[in-house]
Amino acid sequence: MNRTLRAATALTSLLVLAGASSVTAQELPSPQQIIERYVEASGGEKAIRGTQSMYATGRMEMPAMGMTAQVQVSTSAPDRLLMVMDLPNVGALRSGFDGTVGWMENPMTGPMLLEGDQLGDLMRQADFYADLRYAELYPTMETVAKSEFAGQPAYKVRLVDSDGKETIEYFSVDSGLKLGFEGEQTSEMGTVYVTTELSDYKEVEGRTVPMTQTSKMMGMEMKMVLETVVFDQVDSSVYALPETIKTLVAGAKSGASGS
Amino acid sequence: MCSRRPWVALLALAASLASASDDAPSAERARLNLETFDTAWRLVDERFWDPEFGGVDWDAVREELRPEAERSSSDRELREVIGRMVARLGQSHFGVIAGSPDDGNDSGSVDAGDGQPTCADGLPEHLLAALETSTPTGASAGPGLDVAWAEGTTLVARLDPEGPAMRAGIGLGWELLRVDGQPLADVARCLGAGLGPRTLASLQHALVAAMLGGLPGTALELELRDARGEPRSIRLEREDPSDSQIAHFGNLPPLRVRFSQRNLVVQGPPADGLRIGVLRFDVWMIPIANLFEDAMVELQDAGGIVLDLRGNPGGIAGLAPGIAGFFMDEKLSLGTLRYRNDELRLNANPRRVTRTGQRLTPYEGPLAILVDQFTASTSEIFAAAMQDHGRARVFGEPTAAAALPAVIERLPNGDLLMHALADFERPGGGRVEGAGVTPDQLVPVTRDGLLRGVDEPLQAAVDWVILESVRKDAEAAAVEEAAAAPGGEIR
Repeated sequence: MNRTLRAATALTSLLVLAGASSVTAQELPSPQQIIERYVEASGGEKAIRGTQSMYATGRMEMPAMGMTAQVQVSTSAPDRLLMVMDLPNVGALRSGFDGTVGWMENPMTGPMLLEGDQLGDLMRQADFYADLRYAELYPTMETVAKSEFAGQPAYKVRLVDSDGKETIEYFSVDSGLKLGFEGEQTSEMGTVYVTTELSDYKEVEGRTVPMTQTSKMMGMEMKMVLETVVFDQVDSSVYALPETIKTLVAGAKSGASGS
Repeated sequence: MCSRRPWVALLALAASLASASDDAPSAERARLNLETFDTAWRLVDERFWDPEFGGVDWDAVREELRPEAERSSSDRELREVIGRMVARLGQSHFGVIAGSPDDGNDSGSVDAGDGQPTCADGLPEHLLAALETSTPTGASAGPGLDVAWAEGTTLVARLDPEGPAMRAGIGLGWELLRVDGQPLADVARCLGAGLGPRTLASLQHALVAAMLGGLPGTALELELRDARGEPRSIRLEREDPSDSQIAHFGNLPPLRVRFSQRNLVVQGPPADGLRIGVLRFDVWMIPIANLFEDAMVELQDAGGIVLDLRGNPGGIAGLAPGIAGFFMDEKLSLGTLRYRNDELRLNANPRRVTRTGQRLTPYEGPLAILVDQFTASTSEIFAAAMQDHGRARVFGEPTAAAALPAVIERLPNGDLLMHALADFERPGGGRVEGAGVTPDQLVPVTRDGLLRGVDEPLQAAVDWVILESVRKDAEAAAVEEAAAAPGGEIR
């Protein structure tokens, strides 16, 4: 779920770090213990494995731009993703991963195939069972400190994936739920540092879901508020590549430049 | 991210010409003044890309101006104080835009006694109001003419076909003297003190645009000097241009967007029948994306393209990578945005497909770009990038030198603060802000040329496109000849 929210944020390109400082150096739980507790607090492994897809709608508020976008996110096991952000007077920004091809349609810049770090980020975001695969996804996991994040006591966990990319995640000392994360995020404009707070957790069909995500980057703030979340109601046809992307893929296969 | 025409940043300078009121504000007014002032200060404090503020003691600026802000008796006065605050940074793309047409506490225009407004004691209030409340390209109707500054005069440089001005018999090269009784020479004189030539030109341009714009059907009195030097007084009604539409984007006020495409066909040697597309748009707003794509599909086999960015103040910088991609076969950088802690690149997105899925090839033919002193912001970023990559040849006059990525945010009193978030470095190195884009071929507008009906910068660009086309044809022929020759080898 958190990766899905993260994916929606990636449709815009911004960020800022609001780092939480370490306050103590006491005995800390292992990252595995923290993750296990988080999975349990989220509804448990059985509930997570018991769902095959999720569809969420909501709004993305971007006060610095004076804009609020309607957002739809569809994601299915094992790694399908479609995000649609409908910006007033602009049109729909779409991005997706069908298990092979990562793509984006932006009314301002045109359609494009994603590659490199941007594709890697999207694939990680599309991983439906990522919350159950921390050990596989992050060869290095370390509980750095018991600190404070978003005004709450939190365990700060450092994660490094197989590409060497580092992410910091914060888990509530009290509830075990994830309070947020920070790290670099790649867009077509480059890499920016994003700090994200997760809040307003609600129970939905046996899962505990953060309904609000507030991201800060480059001195600006974006807030995504989910209005509906449903599980196991996504038709896999939504992940079919749009005509524009099919044309780009065909061009790439025939030897033209890929994007 | 968006950017906007440089006149917004000049409002502080213009506003400083207005006189302040001595009336003490109410307690509620004073509280709102401080909240608004502090918010504006904080936004810049947190987000200005240079943590050293270019050597300006930003805390001291706050301490100095905060009491003045508190004493302001109107939003207009408060805008003036905040405008002076952000002007200390010495950058474009900082300014305060009125959130509403008038807050009711401002004095009227100064009358010189002969019934004509003057700016002897400061810029007339009605012009300040026009500047603050009208939109850059005027989400409003107009007389169907554009002006240029040449040889110290304001000249009619473009006429809309069948527009009000053309129907009234106004010709290219005529000198515009007064608009609704306001002498343009007075405007220039009053603004002139302490302003550099580029700043003055930008503000003049904004003022004249504001004076010419208005609601459809409203009357406009123009006094001009015609081709023979005779004074002419012409009354006409403003109309919405037929090629325009109103665009909305976030906090920006509604903007009138105009896009036009002309196809020129060369008659006679050395390039008889060569088709040259001339594309012009007046602001970088969302509708341009599809209009430009449609034009590029139609121009795939054109012998050359001229992109006219004269008078284009910029707009949404995020459109530049998409437009550049119609002319670039690689994801080349259009420049780097340097924020306080981050760095982003604008990269061209090579356009290999239309929005409907039709296959497309980035255009490889000659591209000329026209610029002038009112070409600013995203237009400058685009022109600089295409110039640095050798993808276009730039014609015209040096640009406005005002190119910073900025946002517009609402302040507690309803006004809007425009503030730049990042510095911009062109792909070949160096800033556009403060330096502008120097054309590869300097071609100023002249009155003589306009009176002859010749758009000299456009003519120069077309001449170059023809030569480039001929040169490329010759090169292609030589390659074919070498390949066809016995034992020929292509290197």
